[in-house]
Amino acid sequence: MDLSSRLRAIVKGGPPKPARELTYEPTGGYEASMDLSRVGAILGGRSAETPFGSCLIIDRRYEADRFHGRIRIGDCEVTDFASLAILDPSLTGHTPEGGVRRTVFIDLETTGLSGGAGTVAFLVGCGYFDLGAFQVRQFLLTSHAAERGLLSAVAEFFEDVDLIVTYNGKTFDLPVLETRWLFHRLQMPLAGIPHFDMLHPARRLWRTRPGAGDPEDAGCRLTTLERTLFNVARVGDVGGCEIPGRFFQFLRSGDPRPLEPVLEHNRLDLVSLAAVMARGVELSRDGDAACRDCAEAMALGRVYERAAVDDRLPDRTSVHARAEQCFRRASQSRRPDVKGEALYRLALRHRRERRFGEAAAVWREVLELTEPRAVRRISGLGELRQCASEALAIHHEHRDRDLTSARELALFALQEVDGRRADGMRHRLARLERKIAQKTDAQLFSS
Amino acid sequence: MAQETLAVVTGDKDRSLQEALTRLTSSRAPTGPDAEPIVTASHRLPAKPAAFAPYPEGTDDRLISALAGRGIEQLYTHQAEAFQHVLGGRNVVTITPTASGKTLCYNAPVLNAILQDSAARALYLFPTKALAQDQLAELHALAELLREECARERVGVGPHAHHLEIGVFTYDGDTPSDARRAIRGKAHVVLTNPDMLHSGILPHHPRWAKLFENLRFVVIDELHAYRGVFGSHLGNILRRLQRICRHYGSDPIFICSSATIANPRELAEGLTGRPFELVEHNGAPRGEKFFLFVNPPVVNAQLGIRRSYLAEARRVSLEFLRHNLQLILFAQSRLAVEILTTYLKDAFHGPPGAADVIRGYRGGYLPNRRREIERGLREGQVRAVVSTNALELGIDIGALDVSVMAGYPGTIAATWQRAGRAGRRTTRSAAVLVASSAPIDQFIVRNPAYFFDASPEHALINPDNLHILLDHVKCAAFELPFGNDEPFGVAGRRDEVDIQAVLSVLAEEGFVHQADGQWNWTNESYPADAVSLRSVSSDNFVVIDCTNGERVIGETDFTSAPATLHEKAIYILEGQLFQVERLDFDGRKAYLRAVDCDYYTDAITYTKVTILDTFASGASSVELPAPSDPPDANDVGLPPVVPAPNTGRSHGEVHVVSRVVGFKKIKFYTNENVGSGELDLPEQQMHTSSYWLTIPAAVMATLPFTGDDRRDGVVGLAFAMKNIAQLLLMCDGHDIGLSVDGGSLDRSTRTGGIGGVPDALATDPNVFIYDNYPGGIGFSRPLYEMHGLLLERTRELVAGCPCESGCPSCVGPEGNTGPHAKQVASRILDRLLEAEGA
Repeated sequence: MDLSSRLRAIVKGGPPKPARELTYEPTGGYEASMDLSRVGAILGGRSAETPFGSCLIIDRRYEADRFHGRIRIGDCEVTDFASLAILDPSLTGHTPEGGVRRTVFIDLETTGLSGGAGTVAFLVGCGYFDLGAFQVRQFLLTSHAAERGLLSAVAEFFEDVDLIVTYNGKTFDLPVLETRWLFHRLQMPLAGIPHFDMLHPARRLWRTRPGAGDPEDAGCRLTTLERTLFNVARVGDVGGCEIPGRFFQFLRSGDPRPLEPVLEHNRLDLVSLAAVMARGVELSRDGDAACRDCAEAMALGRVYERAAVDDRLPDRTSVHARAEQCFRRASQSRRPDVKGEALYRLALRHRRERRFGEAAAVWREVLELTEPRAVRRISGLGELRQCASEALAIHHEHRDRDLTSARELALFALQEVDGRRADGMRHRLARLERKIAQKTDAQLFSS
Repeated sequence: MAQETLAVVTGDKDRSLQEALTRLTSSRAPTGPDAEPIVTASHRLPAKPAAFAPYPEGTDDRLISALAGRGIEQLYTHQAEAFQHVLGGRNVVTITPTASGKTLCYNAPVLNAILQDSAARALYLFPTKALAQDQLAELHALAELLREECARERVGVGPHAHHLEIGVFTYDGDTPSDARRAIRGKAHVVLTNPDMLHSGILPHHPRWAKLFENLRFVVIDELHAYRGVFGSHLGNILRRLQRICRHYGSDPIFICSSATIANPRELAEGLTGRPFELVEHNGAPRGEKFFLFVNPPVVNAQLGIRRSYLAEARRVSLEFLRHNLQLILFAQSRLAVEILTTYLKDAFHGPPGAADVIRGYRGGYLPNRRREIERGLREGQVRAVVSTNALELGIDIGALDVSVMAGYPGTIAATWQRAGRAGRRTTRSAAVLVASSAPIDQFIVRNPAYFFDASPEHALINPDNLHILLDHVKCAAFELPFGNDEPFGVAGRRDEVDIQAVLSVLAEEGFVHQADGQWNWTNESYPADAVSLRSVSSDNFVVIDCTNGERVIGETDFTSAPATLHEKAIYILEGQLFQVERLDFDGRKAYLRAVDCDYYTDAITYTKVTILDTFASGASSVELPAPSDPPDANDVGLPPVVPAPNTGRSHGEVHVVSRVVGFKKIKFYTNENVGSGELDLPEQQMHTSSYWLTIPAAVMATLPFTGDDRRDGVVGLAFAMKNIAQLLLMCDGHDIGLSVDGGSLDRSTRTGGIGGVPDALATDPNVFIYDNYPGGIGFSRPLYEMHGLLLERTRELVAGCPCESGCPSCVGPEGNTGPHAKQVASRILDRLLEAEGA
């Protein structure tokens, strides 16, 4: 066997690969005749010259009055950066006085998800607002050799940008870009620009069940959010796992048509990112009143509460107040889990502010929330009941000094709690019995 | 046995050692005056004084004073020599026995360079994470002393008056991700392992630009560990490393240290593709050392059964312990470690309430437990440690009085390393090898000269194994595009395998794309993830325990899976038994359940080898009398030699088909066959390289035995040859496969017995010893070249074995190979060697 046939046998004879939808049939190995102007014409772009070679630039404009689902493009522009800082307090003070002059949304399409030297960003999508309209500029790599040119064009574009917005850019897009610059032994020009990653606030606001397992994080994918928040339905969207293959096909065949849906997918991601961020800022600016439902108010309350403990943020008192507003609204929910958590957080706030009477009232509301049996079926609520009964027992023993009520509550709590808490409760009960006995003795003697 | 309490260590250790050795050497087998001696060799290695050399010209003063702070006033000659080579810009490999100060051979030149140019960087490679951790402490201490030296100089008006903080970090799978960025920027010295370099550093080289731009040194410690598959992978990783260095404009010097092997320079050059200087004369002092070989006495001469070597190792160890000597006892498996620890603990207990004086040590113990044991050894509270090879490599446990090895470690190099665990630089020490009944062990203890006089083994690698090479070309293409005329090896050297052809095939499958004069990676995968450095292909079977929910407990490589994970197979993990309930061959998964049983299973494999291409043949000419000549074994008056094809030795490419057809159930301890089963598993095929011996029809015809006996003889000969081949090649038992043409032999490795046997032999049968890895890893050609030695040693093994007609220590147990196997095998060997010598 000659070398090539032996190599072929090895390359093909690997382990059975997981079945995978093939999105294209590799065409014969003919050399691509890459004609930039023809590619540009098909994709509706133009070739841009840089000192390091040329790359393809595709511009699209989404006018202000156009709708993305049920949100108007013009309404997606964010100007209230104080409210943005509530979503990410690290931005406080990093946005220049007098507001941000230019915000750019970034979304990359790459040749893989692993990172490392061999993962290339073949499409750098950038969006920004221009006179109310959303302008998208996409930088497309037409060959590996042209990467330096693409990076140089992107660097130039970012020269006067003072805020970058991404979706998962902290872990993915920006590290990948940084690696590309480093690969060419250049410093990344985007490094010093403030960066807002919408993924994390989005998870806090809209993850279906906070803390609970949603391993795929499907509820917080951009495409899910655009559907649930704005009723956007994409038609013929290209799946994420198909994207690298389409680029490779383009490299091999020189035919740019498989890339058209990729460009469109990237643009829609950018518009949705702007819309999702606008919705986030709207919530943080308008508080509970802007919330669609009690669950959203609950999530927003948590976002406020988290921001309020960050000492970088100015005017934290008002943020505290807005958190409380949100919890009050959420406590009206008919969903016992939402209502329970809202009451719990309210009670904690009252106690922290030494409004013990109000706290006790809220704790009582927690206990009245539902029948115990129903409660146990909803995970987390059993825990809430334990907290509430324990807190009330403490309240009656130490603040209210109503030992009999305290004993009743402790007895009640003992049925609810388990583990270490139960031991604590038994101690409490014993102490209460002792105190009541002493008091009775004292009364006997004094009378 | 009654328990004894160890006395406090006092008095004259030299005398105690002498007494213990005298008692051991005077012990005799109980079966009479003509019995074999139990101690087959007693070798004295004289004390050797230290040989010192001055610091080479150009050594930084601060380094000299910092080392003085560590109690090092002068260098040993080998350290100075290695240092000198590095200063002269030459790659160097130094032979460093245990406790000879090897770390200074690389730390001194590296730190010296960093003192003179704080931009200089070094990359240290250790075969395991634990070794890197062990080195970290020493480097930290030196770096701290150097910092103080620099600070002192700054107060005065020194010539290098500047602040210097030498960053030393390990970078491996345990490094927290938030620390990684800082390490990439700050580390002057990065300590890592090949796996991390392969999948965590090279593919991310843009983030390591500072390291690669300034990389002055690559240190490879424990060089001898990189042989076979692991070494073949490392050779390719170092090709990738040097490719990346070229990209960043650096050209590092390689500094290697190796245990005593036959070809350290060749190995270093094979791994790196660069020329090397060898430093082989060691200047470290050595105390007097005694080396004993102990062969457990035969208890059944007919079956060739000896007393258990574990019991014998226990007896030997107790002798030393009673003389208040501190010892390390090496066992070959984790199970044996646990057994021997129990044996010794049963015999001794410490003072009431004190910590254990006998400890076990093996992989699988938690790190802080290991550290505690190591400390106990250094400080003397631990009097005996029973260990696997986990303590063979450079972990610091101080120097003990005695090293006992239960079973031959498999190679001369490893034996010396283990022996070196005992012995301070000035006092007496002893090493004792207790042989098991395995053929290799028996050969070694009966031929002490082989061990003491002959050169140690060759470490062999084959970085051009196409399977391994292909994987790394993918990784390399991911890291940097390949130029249209770029080689993969060192610049200026012609590659053995045409890399452009490799890239063309990868392009056909879409992995790379050629444009603008280069090959670019066009695949969304991360190729390093698909490569396992410890095997040829990463196509592994996952072992899943379903006793209590599903839990992955292990992995088995593709080739050995059918024999070890077939349905009803007993799978042993750390002494616990599991039975395979279901083997999902296509899904590469085996489902097991914990069981309690008193047997294990041994698969019966049929193997057929077909010759595809003969690379060389018959050069060591074997000429024999024509078949018409009267058969006379003593006839040495041979006609002139005419090289004939297909006689004697050959090597080439072969096609191996093997199929597991059944299994036997074998009872623990008694090794009784207690049942069997048939299996229907898919065939496995591979192309690999092979050495083969052709026994000429003329030789076969001269044998005064029946056809069946001749067959038995060839099978027995093959069995013995394979064991010697393993010895000569310094490889593990499963690295090479064995087959006799016309049928299969394979090999119940655990019993030493032989499974299927060919029904009839060809007229001039071939004995194949093939590389048991697809593509081959380079054993066949050396074996071809050692053909004469292989036959010679095989004859010594068979002839020297005291058994009557075959035993597990030579041609295989009589019950498996037939009554005349040993006789026939000896005859064949005699005839072949006569012809060789003619």
